[in-house]
Amino acid sequence: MASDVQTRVQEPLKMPENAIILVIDDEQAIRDACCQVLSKAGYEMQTAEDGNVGLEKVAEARPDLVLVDLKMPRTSGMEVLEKIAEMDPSIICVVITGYATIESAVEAMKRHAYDFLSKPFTPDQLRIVVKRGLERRRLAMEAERLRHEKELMQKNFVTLVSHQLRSPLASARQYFSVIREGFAGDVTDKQKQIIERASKYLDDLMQLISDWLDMSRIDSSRIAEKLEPVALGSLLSEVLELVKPLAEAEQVTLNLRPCQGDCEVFGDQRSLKQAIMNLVSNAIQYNREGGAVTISTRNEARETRPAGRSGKDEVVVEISDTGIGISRENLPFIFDEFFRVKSSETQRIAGSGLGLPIVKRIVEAHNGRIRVRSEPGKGTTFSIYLPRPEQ
Amino acid sequence: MENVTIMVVDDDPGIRDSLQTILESHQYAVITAANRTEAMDKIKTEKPDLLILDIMMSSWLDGLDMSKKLKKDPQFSDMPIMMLTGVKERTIFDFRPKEGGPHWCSVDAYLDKPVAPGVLLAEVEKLLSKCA
Repeated sequence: MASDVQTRVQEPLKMPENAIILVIDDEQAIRDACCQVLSKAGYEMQTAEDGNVGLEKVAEARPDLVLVDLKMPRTSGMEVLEKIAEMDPSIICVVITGYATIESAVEAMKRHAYDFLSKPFTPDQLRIVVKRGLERRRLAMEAERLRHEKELMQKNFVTLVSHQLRSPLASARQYFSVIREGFAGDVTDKQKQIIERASKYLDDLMQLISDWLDMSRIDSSRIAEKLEPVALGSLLSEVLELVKPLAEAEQVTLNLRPCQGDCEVFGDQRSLKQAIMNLVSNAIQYNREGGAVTISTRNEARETRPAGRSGKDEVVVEISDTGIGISRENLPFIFDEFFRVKSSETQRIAGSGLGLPIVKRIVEAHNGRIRVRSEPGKGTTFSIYLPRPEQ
Repeated sequence: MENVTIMVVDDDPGIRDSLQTILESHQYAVITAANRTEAMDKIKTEKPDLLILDIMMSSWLDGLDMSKKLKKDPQFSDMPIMMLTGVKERTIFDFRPKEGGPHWCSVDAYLDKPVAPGVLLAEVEKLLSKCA
């Protein structure tokens, strides 16, 4: 999962003002006194009359700080301390004891207690100890949050850089759109034309950055680790949903011909989606106006399968277009990085020359194969062969 | 569009600026915010009719998280939210989140940045008429 962008959003830190404090003490008088003093200070109070109830409440309410009496019938305070530390070591425990000895203090500290209150204590002593404990918790949580953030930064470095690179481009592009469409005053046709050309440079650069990002994210061994049964039907509908605007803009019809029954492959959902998405958007962009893209899937027996295995152990996804096609001379190079077919027809299409290499890498990481058939002027068909999950 | 206030939240001044120009040319009143805190303050005081929200601001998915909170808040759950993303950001985070999925949030519309002015205005109109 290391390449995945972690997207867990941090909850804001709980401030000590509305911290939850649990008092575990068999003496009603102590529980009441603590509640009285601390709820006045704005804390949310919970109480428990013995260790077992206390532990249940710890699990349930996740207090920030627990005041624990050491000497209680049944579960002892020491045991409670131990269990709390097992449950959540970040909870601050303060020990209350009537017989404060060095030994019991040491014992309690060993079991994760943070501080000590010896009976009888004054309201001020209680407040100070609690405040100090909560401050300690706040700092610990802050440190944890920073550590987590740093880890995320490292993990997501490429994504972050790409975002940072793309953002200013997107803004510049947005400004151009404002001028081009006359929102900042009248524009002549000549000016419009120039802005369109300038915008195209930005588009190309944005695409290039995205493709670099994709390329850097493909780590074959990591994909191989993540393989699981993936239902192609829903994956394809997601892809179609994403490319619909592009197809509409290019006036290309999208057809989906799924295989009979369920079509599952052994794959990594995210990278497969990316590979199919690249192929489908290529098929749309290198099409003709009014053309069509057909995506079909079918089960097929592997050509060289070990003896004794049943057939139908491969799934073929085929993406066909009715576009300009690829000439015989260019065909061997289309999976090379940064290769682009140069012709008057492809000039208008933005591309980094990384789309197909990305597809190839992904397919190969799946132990699959990719094939292409093309007839210039008629269209191109890409077929990817992917293994089915083991039955 | 008289008396319609649209709020644009993006940490990028270029996006705020250009969307504001586009929207104001269609007589929408526009307020902007550069971050989540500023946005939440202004939402409470100005009560915009529509929110246009960047997905990645100071931290990951700030925008998505913010919209989740707004949609849960009965006071603002009716305010339509349009999310601005980059296509790649969307695929990376697997947006178009599946209902009930980890990032699911019932945002009313997703648009890619940069957005064509015509598309933006059409989408704004659509969302406003839906909620009128």
